[in-house]
Amino acid sequence: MTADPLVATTELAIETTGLTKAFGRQRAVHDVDLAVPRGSVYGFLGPNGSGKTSTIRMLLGLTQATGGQIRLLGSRMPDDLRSVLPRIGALVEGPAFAPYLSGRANLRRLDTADRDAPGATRKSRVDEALDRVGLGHAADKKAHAYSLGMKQRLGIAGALLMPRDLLILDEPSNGLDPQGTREVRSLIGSLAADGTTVFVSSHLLSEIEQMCTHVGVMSAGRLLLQGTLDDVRRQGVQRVTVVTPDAEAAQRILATLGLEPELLPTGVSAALPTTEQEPERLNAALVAGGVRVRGFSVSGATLEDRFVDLTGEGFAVAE
Amino acid sequence: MPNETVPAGTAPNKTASRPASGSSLGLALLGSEIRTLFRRVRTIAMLGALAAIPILLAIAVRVTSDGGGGGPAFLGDITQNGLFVSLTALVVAIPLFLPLTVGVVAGDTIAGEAGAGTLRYLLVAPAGRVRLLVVKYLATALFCLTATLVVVVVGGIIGAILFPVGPVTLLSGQTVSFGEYVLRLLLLALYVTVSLLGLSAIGLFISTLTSVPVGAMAATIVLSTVAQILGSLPQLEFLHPWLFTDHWLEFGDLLRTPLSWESFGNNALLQAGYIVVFGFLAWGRFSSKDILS
Amino acid sequence: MLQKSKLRWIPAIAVPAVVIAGAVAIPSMANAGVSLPSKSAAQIVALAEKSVGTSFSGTVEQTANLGLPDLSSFAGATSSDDGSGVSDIVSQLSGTHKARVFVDGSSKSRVQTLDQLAERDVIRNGTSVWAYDSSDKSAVHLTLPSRDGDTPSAGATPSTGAVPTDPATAAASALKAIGRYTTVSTSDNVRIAGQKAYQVTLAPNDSSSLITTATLAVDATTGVPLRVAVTAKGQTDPAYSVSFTSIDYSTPAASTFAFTPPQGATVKKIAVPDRSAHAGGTTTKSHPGITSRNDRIAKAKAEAQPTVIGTGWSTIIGAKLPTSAISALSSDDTLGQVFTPVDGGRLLKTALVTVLITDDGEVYAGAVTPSALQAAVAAQ
Repeated sequence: MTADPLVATTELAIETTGLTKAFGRQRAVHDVDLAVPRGSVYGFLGPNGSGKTSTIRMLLGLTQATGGQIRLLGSRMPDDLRSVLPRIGALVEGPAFAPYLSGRANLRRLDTADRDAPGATRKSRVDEALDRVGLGHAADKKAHAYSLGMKQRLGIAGALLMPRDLLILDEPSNGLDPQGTREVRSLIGSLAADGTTVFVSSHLLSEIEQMCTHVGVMSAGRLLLQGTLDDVRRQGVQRVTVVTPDAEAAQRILATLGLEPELLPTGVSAALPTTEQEPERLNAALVAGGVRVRGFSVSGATLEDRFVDLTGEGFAVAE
Repeated sequence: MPNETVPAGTAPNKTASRPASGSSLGLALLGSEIRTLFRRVRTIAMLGALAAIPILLAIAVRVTSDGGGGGPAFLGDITQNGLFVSLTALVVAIPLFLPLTVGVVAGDTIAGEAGAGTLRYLLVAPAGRVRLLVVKYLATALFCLTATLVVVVVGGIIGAILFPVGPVTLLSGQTVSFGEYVLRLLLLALYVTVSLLGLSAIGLFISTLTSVPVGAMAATIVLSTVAQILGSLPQLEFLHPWLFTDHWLEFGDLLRTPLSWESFGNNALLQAGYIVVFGFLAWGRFSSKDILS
Repeated sequence: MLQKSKLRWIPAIAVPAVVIAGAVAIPSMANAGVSLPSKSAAQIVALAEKSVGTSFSGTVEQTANLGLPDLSSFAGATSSDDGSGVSDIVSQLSGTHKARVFVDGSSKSRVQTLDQLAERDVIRNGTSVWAYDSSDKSAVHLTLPSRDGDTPSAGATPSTGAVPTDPATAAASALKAIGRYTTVSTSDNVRIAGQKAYQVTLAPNDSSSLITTATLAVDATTGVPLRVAVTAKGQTDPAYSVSFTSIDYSTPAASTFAFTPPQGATVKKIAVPDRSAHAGGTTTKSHPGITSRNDRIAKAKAEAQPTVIGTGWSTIIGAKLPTSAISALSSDDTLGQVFTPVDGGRLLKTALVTVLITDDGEVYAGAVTPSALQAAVAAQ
């Protein structure tokens, strides 16, 4: 324990080093170093089968890591599982319920499993959680009569039975209609506003982009990159596009500035070197060189561009 | 958990509002488990089927009025004394029907949760793996007792309705009062319950091996049948004292005077051995198991 | 972490292993090193004889491994067939049977043969003897002539047919066989039913006998015979043994020996107890343990005057079979499997006893090899 690389940092809600899970010779998760700051909404992005759920299972102590270390809310997992897990709400690999019990009974059952949950407030907490996900009206229906979307909401309700410091939500909007997806997004937003750290996995890029402050990208069991959404976008290759009738002059001037412009029908375009901090300097040089600049734009790479850059594949490949 | 240094805008310290952890012994979970088990239609149907055994038996005897000649023990006594319906029904239920229902419940304990996916949510709650095993086992044990009592009580009631009721003659030829007979019947129900605890432990262990509940149930039931078959083969006599079914039909010792506790003690010891062995195996398996369902 | 998950299996495997090992080892350790002051064979026998009249209650287990095809599975089907009590005997002679024995002095005793969900009782209270069978709710009542001088030994009373016989009876018959036909020696002390016990071993001198040894274990303090084990030629485990599995030397409650036939039971009174008691005794003496639950058979044997061939361990008893028994034998399928046809009749060979039924309806039995039996019968 003396050579612990994980100094307990209260700033990180989830921290892993070298997290690895092997099934036989195949590595589902390979050397993943997650750093999820407290208070963030962290999007855990990756195509299906990229190791997201395997990582989440290890985080929650459902499976044993083959290697590496985990800290949740500053405590070691799975050693401090008993004290840490009550502070965490989770949705893992889709909702699951006893089909012969009502939604309400299912939540009550889950709540009794948490030995920190006070029995005195159980009823009110269960009702509150049901209302929060908009299932108050269907609380006494048997779970097998629920639609996929309702089950998903019930699953989220199960994660909200107690005030949580951290929510780990695996594909929370799976199976929801657009309206439901919006509701989940706003729910996560309001939870985050209360200060809860939300770790949300998805294979849907748009979802992550719309609600997250931070993002980590998984592919084939490896965490390819992580950081704030802006950081990740910025790390991508940006392009400068100049709309001008003097394309050749522009090309020449940009080339002297170290860029590699290509001719376009309407002007030139060039990849912006990452060292270039002030793209407006280029515009000044073009204008000074007599180029009639009709349009000048720097396009930040979309997250999707970044992802394709990194993995050479799009999302939702394994649908 | 020092949360005071949390940067502004991040999680406020919510842990302060929580009760001290570990305050609950898990009685709430046990209560919930028992409610869940006994409210389940399948459980009720199984208890109903068990209740049907004494009812059908009593009706059959009443309709044919033929108690003599073959059949299970005590069948011939029913026409004279309806209280024997309980005993006959137990004799009929012990080899097959009781192990069948217990196998279903015990095999379903962990595998059923795993199959439905609810196991991961219970563990994340966190229910605690050992705690969950213990709670599941206790609920199964309660089912064993309930199942046995259903046979005994329904047998007594239907017997009293269809046949005359009077003082009961025990195996030793002594006649006892109704009160003492009821006491002995309750002891007998306890004996049968204890008999089923070893099988329950085996079922619990098998249930930790798979996430297919039907498989665990079938395996448990098959084992109880295999043990009974092995127990009936004289060539394997050396094995008999080790079979969990070995004392299953020795409950007759509670119907003798003076009351013999020897079978009860031997049976309890044997079942305790099975509970320890398979309980620890289940614990070893379950506490190290990767929950992938 | 992988290491840890494997470590967790250690107690999970170790505890069951210890339980199983303990369960296997403890019974075998029970006999290790029972130290007692040494006694000669004669002293041990004297100790046993002195024990008559001791009060106790205990559980007795009879194990027979006579090499018969086991018919216990058929027994249920055939026992209701009242025409043949013979298959009942056969089922009694295979496998393990349990009984509880209660003895208060020399005049009160009760033997309960514990069948599964049934019971056979023989209760002696002074001169009154009851036999009760719960399977058919039949009771038999006998009144013994009161003879103060001739008190039968403790367990001898249930000779009307309770199986297993309690060790006292079996011991008595084993002791009577001591004589010029027998080598008597002592063997290792043992612990039986929690009691320290001496052992005496009897070995027949006659090589034609099927019996190699008969071993008697005697409680070192009370002298009550705790076990009789008979080993047959070519076997290491006893072919037949009667042994206490538990014994308690406090006087049983008086209510144990009180018996009133229950309502609905068929009660039969036997007026002439003398002969049937005698006949039972004879049977017991010649073949320890072969006693029948069915007193009709015993009576039938008593009525037919038995022939005795030879002496000592190789004594052969012969009798004329009643015609009903012959027809029962030939019609009984299970017995058909047991007997093998030989010259002049049908032969049954068990580990301890050989039985020959001749074609002219005579039965001969003895603890001798088939060839010895056939030769002796042929020489008749």
